[in-house]
Amino acid sequence: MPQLAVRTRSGRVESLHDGYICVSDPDRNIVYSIGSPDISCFLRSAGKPIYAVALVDSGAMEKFGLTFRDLAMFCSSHQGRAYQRRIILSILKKIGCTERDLDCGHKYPEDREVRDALIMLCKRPTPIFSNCSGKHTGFLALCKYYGYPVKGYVRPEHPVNLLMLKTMTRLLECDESRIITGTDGCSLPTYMLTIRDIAWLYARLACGHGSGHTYDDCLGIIRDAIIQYPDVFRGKGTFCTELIRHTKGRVIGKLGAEGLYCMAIPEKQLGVCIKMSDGHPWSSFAVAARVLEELEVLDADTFRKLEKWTLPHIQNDKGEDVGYIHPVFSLLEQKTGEYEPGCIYPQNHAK
Amino acid sequence: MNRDAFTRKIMQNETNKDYGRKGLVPLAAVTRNRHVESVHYGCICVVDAQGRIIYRKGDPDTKFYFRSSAKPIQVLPFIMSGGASAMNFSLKEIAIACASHSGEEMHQKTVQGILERLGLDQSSLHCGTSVPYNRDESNRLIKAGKEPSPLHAGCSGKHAAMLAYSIYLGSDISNYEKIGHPVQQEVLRTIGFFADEDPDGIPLGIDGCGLPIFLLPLRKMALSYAKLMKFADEPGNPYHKACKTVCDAMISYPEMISGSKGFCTELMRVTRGKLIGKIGAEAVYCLGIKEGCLGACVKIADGGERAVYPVVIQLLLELGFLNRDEYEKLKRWHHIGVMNNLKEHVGDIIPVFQLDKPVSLGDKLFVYDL
Repeated sequence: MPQLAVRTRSGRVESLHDGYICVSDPDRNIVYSIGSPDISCFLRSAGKPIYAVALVDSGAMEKFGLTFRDLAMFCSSHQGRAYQRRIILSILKKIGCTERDLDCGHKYPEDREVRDALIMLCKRPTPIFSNCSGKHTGFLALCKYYGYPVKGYVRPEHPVNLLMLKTMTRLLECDESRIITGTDGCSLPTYMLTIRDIAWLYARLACGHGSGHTYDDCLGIIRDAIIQYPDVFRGKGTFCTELIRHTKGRVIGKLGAEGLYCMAIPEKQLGVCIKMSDGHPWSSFAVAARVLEELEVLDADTFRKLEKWTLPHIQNDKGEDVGYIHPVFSLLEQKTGEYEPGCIYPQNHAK
Repeated sequence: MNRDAFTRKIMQNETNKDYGRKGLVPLAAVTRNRHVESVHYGCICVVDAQGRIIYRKGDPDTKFYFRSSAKPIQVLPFIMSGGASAMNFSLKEIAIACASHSGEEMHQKTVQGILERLGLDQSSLHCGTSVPYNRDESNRLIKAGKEPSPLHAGCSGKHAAMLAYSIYLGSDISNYEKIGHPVQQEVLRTIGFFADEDPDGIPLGIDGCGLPIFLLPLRKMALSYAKLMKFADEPGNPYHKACKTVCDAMISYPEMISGSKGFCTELMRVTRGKLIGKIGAEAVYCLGIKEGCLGACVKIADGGERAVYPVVIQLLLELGFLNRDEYEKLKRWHHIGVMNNLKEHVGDIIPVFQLDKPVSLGDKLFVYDL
């Protein structure tokens, strides 16, 4: 498997992170790839901007008076902060649902402060705190719009998920038998696709209107909503949000569980799918940043501003830097890392 | 390259030949709905006290940092010097010196007890602070609006023992964590002896708790544990008392080693004296096995700790060191359930190194039974 990143300690390589990268254009051509583009993985949370297609296409947005901000929330893996929870509650109100209808489970929010506040108050997180609750409200909106029962909406046989599967097959221009369905962490179905197909979907998200493929208008609207509301899409101080903000919408990056990172680059009309084989999220950020650097989307200044993710620091318990996560591949030169565990990492590679 | 050719290539490299690329082989997989979602590569080596390889997967000469798995060896010079008995160290206190504990009250008290006897307080510990691994304790701190103290750090026991050793040697306690300090020099010499390596040639790094840590081939980490078990078993050996003390301490006080819910604790509790086991950061795991005086080292190359436990259990099964009853009690570490937010079982973290087939992302993989 291709070595994409290494984790160093005291100047030596301590851990290796392998993975796959595929960069596609809207016409399904692979522009760059590292490792087999036919490797498959579950779409996990990287599917959220794609699932929103069904909602935008349905007419539910107009019927319920849902805004661009609400749409960004449907695509989000949010952090459970107060401003994010307020948006979800307002959407639930618009569509005539309550928090009790959400079936995403009780999960502590990712934001440390919010989580600690809950613990301090001895409160259990309610479903809106779950980072997938935005997506779930989108599924509820579809149920309400089409008159499906709200109960059991997370089950694969529920009409809303049959609709979603149909939407996926139309997007991928394939038949249902080609898509393997799994269960996501938030209990809704997730779909197993090749990384070339995922990159292709993100290329169409990048391209928006006029890609000539199904749902191009929907994807364009979704792209614009995310770019307009990066704080809703994930949360302040996270890679996904800061990447959109610092590049002023030149890149949309969306993480998925188990080391998946997808990007849409509108100005290049490219989609990127990165899958770290070991499921490691932090290395996927550093790898994503290197891809953007090579594609000349991320300049040195922005790279530095995003250093927390572009060159993640490893610290000891005294807060001292003892190592880094370094990307070790080149997309343009088709090179991957050849580092052996324990070897000295050449310092001049560090930026 | 198409998928089949790709799969064949992996097979040639990693199954038919000795070992795969960079000496690493797939050790564990994370499944979701019976499909492989992530794969963890790594290597395994089991040796006897002469360093003869009994079992291996991947290249046993691959080098990694010993991290916290070194603790049972790091404490040996303190015991051998006579310091531990002169300073009335109990077996429980030796156990906490070998621990990566979870910061529970019992751990804090044990470390605090050592410090009080030395006439010191927690400010002398140079291990830094970390949020305790134990959820109840970390929640208790949050509720009380308190920051974690050095006593909560998983390495505080080791640091307290090093402070004691430093005082016993009559050396400066203000810089006991520096490599030039007599304590660290003695520790390095001991590591060299147990790993059968020239101490001056061992590359050093800085551990998470600020102490020097040692870069060693996998087989040498395993060897140090094999020697530990061997010497503990040989009454005439000069290292006998120290090695036996460490084994007895870890086996008698397993709850000190990783805390009430930790894997090391549970493994040693269930196997009741058959072995000692110790986790290290970035997914290194060492075992000392009494029967045959064997040492084992497992390392997940990407540092994914979640994968190390199923691999260790499978290794013990492969070697025939777990009986049915013990296995039943440890089963949840063998196939670690992956749950969704509604607490439904959607996948597993499972060992795959024993399968006679390559594993790659997206493959269909059934969870087999023992």
